[in-house]
Formats: sequence, structure tokens, C-alpha cells
Amino acid sequence: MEFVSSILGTTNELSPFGFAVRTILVGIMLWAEGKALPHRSGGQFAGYDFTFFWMMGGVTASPLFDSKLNFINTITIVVIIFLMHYLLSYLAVRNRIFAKVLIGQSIVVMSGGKVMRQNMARALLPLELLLSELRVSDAPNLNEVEVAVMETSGHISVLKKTDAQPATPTELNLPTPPGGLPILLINDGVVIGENLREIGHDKLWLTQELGKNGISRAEDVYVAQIDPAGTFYCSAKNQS
Amino acid sequence: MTLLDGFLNGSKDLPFWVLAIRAVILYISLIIATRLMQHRQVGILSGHNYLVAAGIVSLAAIRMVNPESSLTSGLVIVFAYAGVNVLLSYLDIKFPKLIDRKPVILMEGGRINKKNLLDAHVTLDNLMGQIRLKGAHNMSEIDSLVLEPTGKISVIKKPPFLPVNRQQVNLPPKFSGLPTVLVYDSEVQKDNINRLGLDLKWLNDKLQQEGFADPSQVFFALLEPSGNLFISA
Repeated sequence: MEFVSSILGTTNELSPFGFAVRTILVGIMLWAEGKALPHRSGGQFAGYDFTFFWMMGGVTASPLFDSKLNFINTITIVVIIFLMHYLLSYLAVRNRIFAKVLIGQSIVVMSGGKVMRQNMARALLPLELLLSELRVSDAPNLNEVEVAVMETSGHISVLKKTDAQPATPTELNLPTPPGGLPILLINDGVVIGENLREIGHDKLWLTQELGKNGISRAEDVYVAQIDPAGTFYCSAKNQS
Repeated sequence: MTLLDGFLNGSKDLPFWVLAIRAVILYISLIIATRLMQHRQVGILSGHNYLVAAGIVSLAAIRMVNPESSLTSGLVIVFAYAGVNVLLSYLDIKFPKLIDRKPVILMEGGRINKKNLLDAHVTLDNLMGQIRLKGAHNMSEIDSLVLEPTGKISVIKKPPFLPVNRQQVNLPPKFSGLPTVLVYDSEVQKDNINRLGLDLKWLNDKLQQEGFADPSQVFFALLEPSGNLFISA
């Protein structure tokens, strides 16, 4: 009983074994948080997402910092930070003015091909960093840039001048197949019946398609996918 | 003896050089732990990867600066923490639905899924910013948007707005694939050359044609799948 309370509560001395048990409990918290945390925090769309995620990691691990820190306090803080982030994002998504205060606005640093010196200063962005970000975005030549925007996530988005953009099939009057998201049909040998029905086919059709690729059983397939144009893809489990 | 005891278990009056050695050991253990957690930890591919990164760094840092903390416990924690992360990644392969979050579809067939967007707490301004970063400035050119488990947004454009590919202009397929390293930092890679069914004589002949008397004069040489030879002195 004393051992349990030293693991969960505050204690002056804790053995390495005791800390190992604490680590496993923290591991369970990591799993639960990793599953429950909002997607946007990982994408770090704005400064407060960044603060939230890194703080969350530090707080979750805190029972391992010192034996005096206990799980009850840790969980309290985790819940409070989570609720704060939830509340702020909830308000931001429903009120644009609040969002502008919380998240800030993206700043246009190049427009019409010209670098805007005042906006560069507003974005605290030196020229060298702009050039670096442009190179990273495959636009090393200022001549080719139409618009560049400093986004709230801290990265710079680039729109190239139409002359510098790759030609699209529309511009060349070429026909295009239907596009969009491909659909997963087999995951590690397991047929996803729901997806198969969605595209209006049955298992017999799937077996035939696999047969064309020289595979007799669906269990032997690691992944099979079909794109909206109807092109079938599969890769066998024993591929080396 | 008391010094060793202080080194392992921590003490109030630890000489600064002992603290320094403890820091070096913790730092090295952190590097080893990162290698054990594999590339997916470095690339941060799922939610728990993020939290592990933030947690392991701060716990090692705090244990480094605190002379009263036990080094043994610190090392046990770092490796147990890495172990927990590897276990979660392993379970993610076995039970993908149980461990990680699911991707959320924000747009499908050119229509924004308002419910999913609001449920994911992504504002329209956020969305616009993220797709601009992906080089998709016009919404009408986008077929689908997926908010991935990591929080990144992937953009699938409509085919008419993708760059023209070779098939569309009836160009025949070309060889593609990864190039083979022939010379790396002036060292001839014999295994790679043998695997291609070629020998040193072939390499020397090729290099001589380019004006290099000896492979040691070459810094880096690659054979590309098209048959093209890249040489840099």
C-alpha cells in the first residue's frame, strides 16, 4: 500500500524501480492523450497550438522529473490545459474576431512580385530568411514569385507567377481521368468490405483483379487500392 | 565511495565536474534512446510521438541540472520511456484503430465538409493558410482535403489542375528508379558495382572517357537508371 502511494503520490525518495513503474503509467497517459488531443495542435496551425503541444508533453512526463511531483497534480494540469485549448479553439472557430486576436493574421510579404518592406518588418522577417524560405519552397528566383504570405504557422507560402507554373491539362486541352482520393481495399490481408461495397463491387471482382496480378488469395496481399479512374494497385505480403 | 554514491544517487554537495559527467551520460543515453525509437519518432508521425519528444527532452534536462536527482533513476526512466514509445508504435502496427487518431476528411469532391471542419476546430482562415503552404491557392482546383493524424493537411487537386504528365502528352515511359553509388568520397563501392553485373575495369574505362585517370580523383560518382553517369571531382 505504501508502495502504491509512493508511486502515485508525493514522496521524498523513490527507487529506480519505482520510477520505472511511474514511466509505464505515464506511457498510458501518453497513449490516451495522443488519441484524444485535437488534430490541429499537431499541425501547429498557430502559436497557441505550438505552446499547447510542447507543454502537454512536458507536463505529462513531470512525475518522472522528481519523486515529489505526484500524478494527481499532473492529471489536473493536463486536464486544465486540454480544456483551455479546447475552449480557445472552440471560440476561434465560431468567432472570427476572437480568432484574429488569438491566432493573429497571415501577413502578405510579397505582392504583385514586389517585396513589401513594411510588412516584412511587421512579420519580423529579415530578407535573408525570406530568400531561404523561398528556396525551400522551390522558388529560388524572385522573378518567378507573384505572392508570398507569412502564415500564422510561421511558414511562408508561395504563389508563383503563371508563367513559372507547370502547365495543366486544361491549358493544353487534354482530357483527364477522374481524380480524388483512392480507396483502400485490402489492409494487411484483410478485405475492407465497406469500401468494396462503396465502389459497387464484390469479393468475386476483387479475386479477379488480384488474379490479373498473379495473386490467388486476398490474405496474401499487403495492400490493395483503387483510384477513382478505376486503376487497380496491389502489393503482395512477401514482396522483398 | 561517497562521491560514487553522489554520482549515482545524487547529493546536495556534488562537485560541478561530477554534475558535468552525469550530464554527458544522460545526453548519450538520450541519443541512444532516440535511435531505439527509430525514424518515426524523429519524423513525428503520430500524436504520441509529439508528446514523447516534448517529455523525454524536458525530463532529461531537468534531471541533468538537479544535483539531488538519482542518475540511475534518470537512465532507467529514459530507456523505459523509449520502450513505452516503441511499444505504442508496435501496437499501432497491430491495432491501428486503437492507438492513433483517424484522418479527418475536410473536403471531398470539391465540397467542404462543414461538420468535420468545425469538429476539428479548424477555422477557415487556418485552412486557407495551410492549403496555400501546399501550393493550392484556389479552392476550385481542389478535390479533397484530409486532416492527417499528425495534424498536417494533405491536398488532392482535381486532375485538370495537376501538372501535365508524360502519359497525357503520349510520351513513352522512361526508366526511373534510384541511382547506384559507384564512388563515395573517393572510395570505389565494389559491392554496388558487382551487383550491377559490372566490374572495376568498366568503371575505370568510363572514368577515363571523362578525363579521370584514377577513381581516387573522383569525389562522388553515380550511375542513374537511364544509363547516365554523374561524376563530381
